[in-house]
Amino acid sequence: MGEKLLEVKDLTINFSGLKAVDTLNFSIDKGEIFGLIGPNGAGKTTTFNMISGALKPTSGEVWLNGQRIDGNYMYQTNKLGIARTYQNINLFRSMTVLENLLVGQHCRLTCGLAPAILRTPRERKEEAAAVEKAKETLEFCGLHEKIDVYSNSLSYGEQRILEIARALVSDPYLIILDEPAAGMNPTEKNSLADLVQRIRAKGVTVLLVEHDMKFVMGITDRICVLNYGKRIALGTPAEVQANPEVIEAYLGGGD
Amino acid sequence: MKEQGFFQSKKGKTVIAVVAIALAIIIPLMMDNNIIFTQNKYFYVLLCLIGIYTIVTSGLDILFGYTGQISFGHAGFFCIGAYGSVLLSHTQWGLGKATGYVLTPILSIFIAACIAAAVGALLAIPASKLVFHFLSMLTIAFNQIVYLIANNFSWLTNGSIGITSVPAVTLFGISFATTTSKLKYYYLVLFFVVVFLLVKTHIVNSRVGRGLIAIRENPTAANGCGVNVAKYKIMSFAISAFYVGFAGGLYVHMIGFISPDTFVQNTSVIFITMLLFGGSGNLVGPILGAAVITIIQEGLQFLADYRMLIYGIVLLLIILFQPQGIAGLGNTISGAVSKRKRGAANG
Ligand SMILES: Nc1ncnc2c1ncn2[C@@H]1O[C@H](COP(=O)(O)OP(=O)(O)O)[C@@H](O)[C@H]1O
Ligand SMILES: [Mg+2]
Repeated sequence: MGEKLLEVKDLTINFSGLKAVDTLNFSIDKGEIFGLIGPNGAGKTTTFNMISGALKPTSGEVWLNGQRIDGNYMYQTNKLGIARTYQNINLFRSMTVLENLLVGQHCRLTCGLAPAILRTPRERKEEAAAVEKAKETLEFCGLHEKIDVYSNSLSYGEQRILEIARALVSDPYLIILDEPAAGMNPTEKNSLADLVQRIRAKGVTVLLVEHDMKFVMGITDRICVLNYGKRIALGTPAEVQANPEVIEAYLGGGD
Repeated sequence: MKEQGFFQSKKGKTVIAVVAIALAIIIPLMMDNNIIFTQNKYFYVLLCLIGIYTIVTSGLDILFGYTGQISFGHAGFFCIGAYGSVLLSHTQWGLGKATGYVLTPILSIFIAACIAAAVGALLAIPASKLVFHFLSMLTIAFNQIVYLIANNFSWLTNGSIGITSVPAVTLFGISFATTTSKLKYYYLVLFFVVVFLLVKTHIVNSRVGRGLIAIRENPTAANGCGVNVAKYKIMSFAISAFYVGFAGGLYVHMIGFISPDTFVQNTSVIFITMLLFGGSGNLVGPILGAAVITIIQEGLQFLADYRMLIYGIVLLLIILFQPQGIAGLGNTISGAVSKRKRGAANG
């Protein structure tokens, strides 16, 4: 077992009576590709929201690198090293691909209002470096040819990749991908799987939710299975697939 | 793809800006020397007003066009800048009355604009949590409160009668009194217009500006990208209020008289009309909007209150048929032409 990057302890959230996530526990090691799966409405996105700071848990804790981060705002969590994508694509639609990646670096850039107004040499240098960094990241993600395209005119699959690039450009420890393969064709899914592997090879830990079982089983090191907000299994893809409770949750359907 | 024509390029834009500034300097000078047109002092007042409203509209644009936050109360900031500067510079009112000391008018305008910015920041603290329609109501209420203070705190503002003999701007020993030369004041206004527009382009093309635009585009994603949304909304309100407050100061030292009537709710609506008419979220739109609406406004004096009706109709038409404002007419026309071309190719 490697060093722990993220720890989720007894994480619980109550939506007016509905326990969307219920005393959830898991931890992710540095350099892992970790999957979170479960039927629709199981609480996967809600878990992501609590880890990334979009939602405050009712109880429980989230730790990153030994620092407690639950209850932070998303912008703070981002600065601490977690970047995410969204199940329903959330791009800056009337910005170009490049501009999206510049916003993605917001937490890593330092110039405030005064250097901007005065266009100080430090500000210009920082901006130029940010553009370079954006280009590198786009190249890494295979979107460099679209650098000046408005993000709303990208294809659906490209928009998903752009969200990943925008998250990656902030140099996170942990990248959280919420259904990254949704709406992609098989070719796109293959290159996505390749991209996720290369992201891990860069030293970024990956946490992802995905419905495509072939995709998840092929790419993850370990998987946590949720059902009705509760963890029902945790282990390697092979272990999880053999777990009777998991088979029941997926095949048993609505009761 | 982003358009790549010469006039869209950085160089092209700089050329246009330099030409525009040169024309703005030379034409009035030629008029003053009877080289072109005839000399008409009122024309300079109109030019000054256009400049002042350009600053107002550009400031409002930072809030509305770039950050996506509406305000129907910016006449309140215009009021704070105007009254603030009068009360800091007038010998018989405010600071002068209380202490016997006054500030020189440009300094008083600057400080009044800072006060407007501070009030804008305070207003933004509750406002940053509100969505569109509640924000509209809050800003309307703010305008109303500022107006009522100007109208009812007679010991401070002389109430509805207003304050006369507002001191003229003097800089480096040069007087910018509009009673003697309106042309000089025009150049003063032009100088500040250029400064404020330059600052605006610098802001919107920086990390801070991208944060503001990100909030307009998608607040959730902005937050996820590390933008402190509440802080940036507050900053946007404050910057916007500074612009409008400063313009209020320039306005009052040109007119030489101040009364609460200038700062009623309708004035805020006119500001919004200028911005929507000209086109928001760019540099040129606010200038065009300020120019056209100011000219209409002055040309239609005789219509008195019916002008608001006309603005209402203009606004409605703009929102329905030309949401990008007149600054976007070029795009709309070229879009229509290329659509027709494509149609022809298909047909
Ligand atoms: N903000 C919210 N308020 C109330 N209920 C919510 C909210 N977000 C999610 N839920 C509910 O929580 C449950 C889990 O949702 P979600 O996390 O989106 O599931 P998943 O991503 O696993 O499909 C669902 O029943 C959903 O309706
Ligand atoms: Mg989900």
